[in-house]
Amino acid sequence: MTLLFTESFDWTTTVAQLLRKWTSTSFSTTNSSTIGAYGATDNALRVLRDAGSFDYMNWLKGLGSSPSTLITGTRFKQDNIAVTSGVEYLDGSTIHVGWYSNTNGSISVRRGGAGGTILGTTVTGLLSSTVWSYIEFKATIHDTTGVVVLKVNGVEVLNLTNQDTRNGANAQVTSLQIYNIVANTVGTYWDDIYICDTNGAVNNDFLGDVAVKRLLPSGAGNSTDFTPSAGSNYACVDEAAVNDDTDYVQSTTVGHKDLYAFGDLPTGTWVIKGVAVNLQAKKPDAGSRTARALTRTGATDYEGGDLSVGIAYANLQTFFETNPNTGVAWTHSEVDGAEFGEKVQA
Amino acid sequence: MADEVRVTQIPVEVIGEGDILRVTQIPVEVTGLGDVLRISQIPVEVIGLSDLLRVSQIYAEVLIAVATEVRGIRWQVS
Repeated sequence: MTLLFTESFDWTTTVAQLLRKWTSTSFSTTNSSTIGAYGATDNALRVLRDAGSFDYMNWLKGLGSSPSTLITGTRFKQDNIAVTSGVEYLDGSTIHVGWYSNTNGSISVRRGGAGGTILGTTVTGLLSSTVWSYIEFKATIHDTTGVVVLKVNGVEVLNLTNQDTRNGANAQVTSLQIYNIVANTVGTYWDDIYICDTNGAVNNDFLGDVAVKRLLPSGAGNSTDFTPSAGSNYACVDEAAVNDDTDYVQSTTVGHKDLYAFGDLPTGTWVIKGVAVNLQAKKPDAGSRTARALTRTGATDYEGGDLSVGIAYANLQTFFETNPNTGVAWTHSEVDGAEFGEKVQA
Repeated sequence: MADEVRVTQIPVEVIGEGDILRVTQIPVEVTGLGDVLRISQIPVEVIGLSDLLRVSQIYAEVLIAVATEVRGIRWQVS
């Protein structure tokens, strides 16, 4: 299984909480990142300089692994394409390669950062101000046989082989960075992000133009072992924006499960590429505690891998890339009928 | 005047879900002619007692393929 990360930007409205899922961000007090209803139907991340002239505002996501080939997809829009934004692949603090928007609507792939060596540039006019585009980027890091492929809205717009894509000692990618030069009152918007590598049998290449739809609990599921802070269990964990200790469920007992019915996907016929279950979880004090995410489908409970729980709330993400009951891709009705939840593992 | 007090042991019991420390008994022994026993502070440190898993939010993110929208097709019959 190869999905490494998904981000809908629909689970919080604060930058501080967003950093539970992202590794770091660089911004000054005169810059702002906000999460709001900037997307077509739901929330997106907006980066905007609210005073002064130009500055940088980046969001970094550590992968927890170090593949030599990485694939990412992002929905992307700018109020004005006169400013440069892009996605960079890093090894530590070294920027190997990245794609960068240009003022004429083209996209360049560079080695070594936004001011680095241009490896290739697309035709002009691919990007327009105020128009969303879905940009996918695959790069293999190598000194001589590096590969770069770029797609916009599902169409290949750049394909480079035998490239020097390695800008540091290691031919690996350890993090992804959303790069923004932000200008006064000119917003850049990001949404529907996926990251995957080339391992596994599914999701090991471009996924195409995908939307990341967030679903929330809507009722009790097959197991209700945890103790709610008040009221019913599912109502303590169903907030569209996480509310931390305002309400919660908790348990000390190994093996306890909580499962919840979830709302349905939007009306339509959807091809499902995968499901990520996200827990906002913590343990209140020192000590060892692990959890697992659950899904219940086909009248059977299935568990993800062990999740280490810290003393502060963190976003713990588990992927069920295929339906564990069938071993093949989820169907729309299977997702609608599935329950999701958590378990005290150890 | 034997004023020496030795507290040799403070058994404590932790109940509930890792958040409550209850001191159930403090046996003290006053030897000699102790007149006044004053205990002003009992510092207690609890370590490694959190066996609680707390979940504040759960959400699923479903990756769905967006249908390709074809724009600008113009049919020309000749």
